[in-house]
Amino acid sequence: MIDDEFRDPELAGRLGRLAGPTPEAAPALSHVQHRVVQVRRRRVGMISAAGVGALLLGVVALRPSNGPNDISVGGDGGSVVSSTVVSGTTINDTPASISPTTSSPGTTVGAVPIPAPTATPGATIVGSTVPPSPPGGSTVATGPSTTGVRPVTPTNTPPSTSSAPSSTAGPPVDITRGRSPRPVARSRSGSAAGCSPSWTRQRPLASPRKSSRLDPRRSTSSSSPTATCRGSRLGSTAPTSFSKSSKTPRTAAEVTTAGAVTAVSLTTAPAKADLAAAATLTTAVLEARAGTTPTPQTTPTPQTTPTTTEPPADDGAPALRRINRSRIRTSRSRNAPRSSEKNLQMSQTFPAVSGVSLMSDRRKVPHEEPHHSPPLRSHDRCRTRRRGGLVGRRRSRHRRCR
Amino acid sequence: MVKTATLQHPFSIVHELPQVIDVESLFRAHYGRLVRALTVVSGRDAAADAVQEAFVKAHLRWRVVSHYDDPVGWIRRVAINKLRDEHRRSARKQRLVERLGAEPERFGDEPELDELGQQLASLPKQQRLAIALFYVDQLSISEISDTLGISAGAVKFHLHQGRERLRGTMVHEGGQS
Repeated sequence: MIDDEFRDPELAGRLGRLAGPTPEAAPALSHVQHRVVQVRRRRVGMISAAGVGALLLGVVALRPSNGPNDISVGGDGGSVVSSTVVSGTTINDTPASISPTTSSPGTTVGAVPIPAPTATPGATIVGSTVPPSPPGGSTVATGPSTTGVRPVTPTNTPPSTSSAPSSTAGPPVDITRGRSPRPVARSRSGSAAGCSPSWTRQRPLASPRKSSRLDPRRSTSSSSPTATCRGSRLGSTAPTSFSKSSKTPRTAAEVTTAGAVTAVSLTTAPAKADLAAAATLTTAVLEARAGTTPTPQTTPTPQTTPTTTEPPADDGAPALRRINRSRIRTSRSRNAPRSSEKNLQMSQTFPAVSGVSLMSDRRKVPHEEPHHSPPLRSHDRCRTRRRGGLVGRRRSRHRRCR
Repeated sequence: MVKTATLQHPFSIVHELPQVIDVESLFRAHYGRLVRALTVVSGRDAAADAVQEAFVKAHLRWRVVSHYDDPVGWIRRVAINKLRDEHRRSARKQRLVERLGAEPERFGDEPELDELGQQLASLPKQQRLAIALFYVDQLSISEISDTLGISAGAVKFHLHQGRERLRGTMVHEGGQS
């Protein structure tokens, strides 16, 4: 084995003596096994720590997807919308103020695709004629179109984050057009608004609200001692509650006039019911003008809570005027994109009739309204606002209308 | 070279035994020889530590190492690399200590080297390794070349140079005696 060229037994013997005796293998073997166990434990610890770290990273990375504005659709057929938003705008008639209340309407919608109801600051006060307010303090002067310009009371109240009162039975909202209702919480306080405190108290919001994205400049809380009338306006769909049974589009309009007509609820099938509802509405209005109490032709839906306490009115003429005005507005708004701003605008111009949703009104207004105006383009309402002399002039979203 | 593990367990029972048995048998068969060979290169403790570390490494990856043609050669090479690392580390530490002006460490348990040991320590590391593997571990030139990663001619050169220097020491010792 050793090459002969380098064979040197003497050198090999001396080097062997220098190397010493052969060491014992047993203690060295136990030491080696102990070291092996240590290394394996260390490896297991490192692997488990790395796995836990990777899991935590994954969880953290996936967590932001569940933002506050996300819509979580329930699996039981009903869609549960939990969203941040929408401000309850409280409008006082005298010293008017708009205060966005932090709200998160957990609107339960049945099988209706619902966009994330994010309320931009300008979106919630489109209908309300809010003049451009200086930063820091919100100046709001609102009022129905019948009252004209309202005095402006600048208030510098931070946006209230308290949950708005919820209503379990909000005004019925038509969802037949496949659009999702914008849960815009808007309240109007004041007796002149045509809503009574008792009416408001009967309509708490369906679900607690979370936060508001309103501009703080426009946020003035209503300090009026009068009760807040939430959802009293047209399109104030914030307290809208879509139950599971509302999969089939229901066209229920609860029309409550200040006159003899206390409550007219129309619950019909979506297609055929329009004409019947319109006829019923017309009849009710006419009879209200005559001072008679019409018999409701249809039974109110279970979801519809009939208005029980209504402010007494002497006759039905103001109500008729308001209803006609609302028809005009509604017909104009057909071509305009439906939004919460439109609802708010409608609600301002329709103070007396409470509990009438915009959508249902759209569907039920007959075509024989006295004023037929051409369909409005999206920026026409800006012109209308300018011409109509509504309170203040708000910076329009349309560039050409600014 | 025939597998040592196969020689230790020549029958099929080798494959049925747990891996620990295989490594253990390999350890019992080659640990002493490896330590003796590397003791000539560096101290006994350093050699023992390097060989044990090499066996630990072989134990942890025995599924791979067991399929090598020469697992013992792999363990020897690992042990030699450990020794080289330790030499570098100790040399770095020694330079640092000298730079700081302190006295270098002296271990009292170091055996007194005779003239052959001193002459062997003065040899280059590669020559020391070649001589130790050739004369103590009794490896062939090809195995040494495989272990050290050098050519057979280089191994012969190192063997020749190292033996000439050691032989001079031996002649000197013989003349004195």
